[in-house]
Amino acid sequence: MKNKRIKEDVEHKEWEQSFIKSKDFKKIFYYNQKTNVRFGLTFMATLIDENIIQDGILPNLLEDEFSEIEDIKQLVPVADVQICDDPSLIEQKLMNGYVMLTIETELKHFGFIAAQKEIVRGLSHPEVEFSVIGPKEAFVESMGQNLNLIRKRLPVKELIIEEFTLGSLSKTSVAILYMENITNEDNVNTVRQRLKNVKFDAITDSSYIVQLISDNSNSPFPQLLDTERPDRVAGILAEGKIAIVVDGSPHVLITPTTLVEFFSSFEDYFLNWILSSFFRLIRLFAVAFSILITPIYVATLSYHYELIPKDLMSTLITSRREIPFPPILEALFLELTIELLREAGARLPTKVGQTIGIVGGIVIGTASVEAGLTSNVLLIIVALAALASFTTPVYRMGNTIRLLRFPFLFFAELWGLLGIVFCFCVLLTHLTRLTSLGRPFLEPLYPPRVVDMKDALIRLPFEKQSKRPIFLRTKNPIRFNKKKAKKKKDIDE
Amino acid sequence: MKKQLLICLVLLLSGCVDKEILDEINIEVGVGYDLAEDSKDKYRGTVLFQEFQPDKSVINRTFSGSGKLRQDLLLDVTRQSSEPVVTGGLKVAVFGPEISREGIYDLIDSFQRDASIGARVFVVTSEDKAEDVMKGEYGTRGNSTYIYNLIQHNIDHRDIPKTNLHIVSRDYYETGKDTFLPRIKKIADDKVEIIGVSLFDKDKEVEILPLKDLFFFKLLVDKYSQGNFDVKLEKGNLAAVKSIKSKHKIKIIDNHASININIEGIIREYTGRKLTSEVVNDVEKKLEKKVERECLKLLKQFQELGIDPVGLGQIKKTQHRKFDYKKWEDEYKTLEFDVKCNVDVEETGIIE
Repeated sequence: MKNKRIKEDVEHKEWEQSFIKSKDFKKIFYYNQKTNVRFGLTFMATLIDENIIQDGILPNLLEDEFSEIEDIKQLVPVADVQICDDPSLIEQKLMNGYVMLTIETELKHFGFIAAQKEIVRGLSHPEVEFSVIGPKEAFVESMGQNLNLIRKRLPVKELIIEEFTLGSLSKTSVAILYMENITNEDNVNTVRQRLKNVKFDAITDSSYIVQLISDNSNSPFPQLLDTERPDRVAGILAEGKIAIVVDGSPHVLITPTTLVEFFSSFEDYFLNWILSSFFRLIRLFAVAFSILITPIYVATLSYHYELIPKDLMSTLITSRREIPFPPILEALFLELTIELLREAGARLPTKVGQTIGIVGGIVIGTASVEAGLTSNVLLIIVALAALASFTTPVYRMGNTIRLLRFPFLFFAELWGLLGIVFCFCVLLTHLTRLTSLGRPFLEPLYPPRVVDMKDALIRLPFEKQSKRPIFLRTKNPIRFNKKKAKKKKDIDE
Repeated sequence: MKKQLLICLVLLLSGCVDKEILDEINIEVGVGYDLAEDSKDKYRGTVLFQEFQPDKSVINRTFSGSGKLRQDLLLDVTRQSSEPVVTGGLKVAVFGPEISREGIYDLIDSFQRDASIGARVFVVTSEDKAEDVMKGEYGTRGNSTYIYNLIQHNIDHRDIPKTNLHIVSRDYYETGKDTFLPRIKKIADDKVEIIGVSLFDKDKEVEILPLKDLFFFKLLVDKYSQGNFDVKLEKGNLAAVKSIKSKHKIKIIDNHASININIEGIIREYTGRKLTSEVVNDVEKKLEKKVERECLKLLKQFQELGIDPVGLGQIKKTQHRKFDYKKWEDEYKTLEFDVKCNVDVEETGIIE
């Protein structure tokens, strides 16, 4: 019996050999009760929902009249049933959670019945981009679920979803989403081309894609915005940008982006425009403060005592009187302490992390001032700078901001304020050269685009947002008719 | 290659900047100059430093030295100081009585040339030796801060016209304008007060205006934003005019300078029975007359001294295309003045 079976399957032997080592590879044979046809089901047990086989496939195949492969389309109550005769597809289909049906009479044809096991984490609150107002749904790891969340918010046929498979090992599904009648075709083509050119074996998260397809991989600045909010993705799709959904990642990528977008939280759109503009400006101030304040402290105290106001002089001098280190060592010591605290806090479970925060913040800070290792003025400055760096709404950008401080510190020590200016020039040069999908990253600041200022440093009211960002070169740059939108009519008019 | 060159430059150039770490330097915050007793040296300077105590109180420390140049003085002081002496914190420079009459511009010029000295340094003259002024113990925040704030708030709210290192040197170089400096006096070991304004011809002190003339002097050379003046009325009544705002307009045609002074103020105190509108009118008239009389007196006095702190020559220069300074010097001696003042009392307090 066994010998006979192997003989019959001699054609499939080659691919079967490689599978058979795996414990979850299953191949089972049955006889139809009416026609007595022998058929086999082949599948990967770990990918298959057994309930579908038990309730949906087997009872029909065993009990109903069934003699050739074409019949399964009528017999099996599953939507996704395919029949093909190309043996090269077998591996891919099996690995995607299909059950393969073979009949001994028709060795050339195979039936594939979809029976994927979908393990979906329940929807949860956005954790990185939490907002008090607005929807509380966040993306999960399943691509199907994520696409559903986006499609629900844009129920129009113009929303196009294109799917790619990337990674020679991981076979990750990656989808690009865009509005057919809005998004610039060039941008879509660039994304397509970049994704096709990706050469990496295992893509396990969207962060891989960010690093693989961004224009300048050596820049500390992220050039693709990642978000866990479906509402944000829907919002940018309507603007004419492109979203990239990666299976297995709860973060969806947005491209092309600009620098200011990394400092705008999606909550800005839920608040009144005056409030949100104010918060945006505060955030930008916080970023500048966070990068520059410690270097300025080091530069001023090492080189430019003339700049210190006479009333502040006594505070600074008395706080530094007992410190045995020059300002740069003192500053580096504190900056590194803060970075250690952050890193330790991020690696530890939440409860322990809080303890670390208290120990670090209060005990180490106070103790090092009392021991005369750091001045208390600098302690305040460094703590404020760290706090300010956490106001950045995009986590990825927050990390960049914290890193940028160190070259500034180095040059402040070397050349004082001149060094800070030098470093700033280098940074500005880098930023002006940076592009996201070929579109300038510093827009609308450089190149200056006054029209796009409506939603950059400040956010103007929705009535003023009648045009899509011009740097996207959208097919349809008008969002709505501005003249009609202006009037707020009462009901009896 | 380019990158390597850049890195090399970074490392090589980094040696070029001098480091001055805040707590490892001695910052000069005030300086006083007198004539040296020894005839070989020219100046005797007293440099004031602040030493901050852990409880944030300030100890005033002074070092004296002498020399022909300001640099010699700094070298003398460096020999006595435990840390390198830097000049960027200078707030106040005091000139003693003899040196003011001898000429001070060499020293002011050296301040101007020192890039680390700011333009807002106050230059003042003193009644006593500058060394004694520096060696007092005024206030709790250090001598230089005390003198600096003393002059600053008197400029902002009282009768001292605006002055600082920048204005002094501009006035010195400008043709048709002469310098003036506030004058202070040490009245006790812990007290110092403003006693007037020193008037200079070029860089030599020629006259001291007493306190009572300062109100009119400021009306002529500067504008008031928050002045104060008491007006004597009939029957011995007094009215205090406060929050005075003033502006002056000077026009010179031929050899005649007409000066228009506009004053706005509020009556805050009145010792009489009722402040009727007649009384207010009276106050305005009295004040106008007084200003006209006193200002004219001051201008005549300047004319006799041959100095021009109001800057009439400079004003004429701006109003006339063919201005000849040589001619002006003669013209000034015979210049005629008329002063017109207009006082406007805007308010008499919150009660009638």
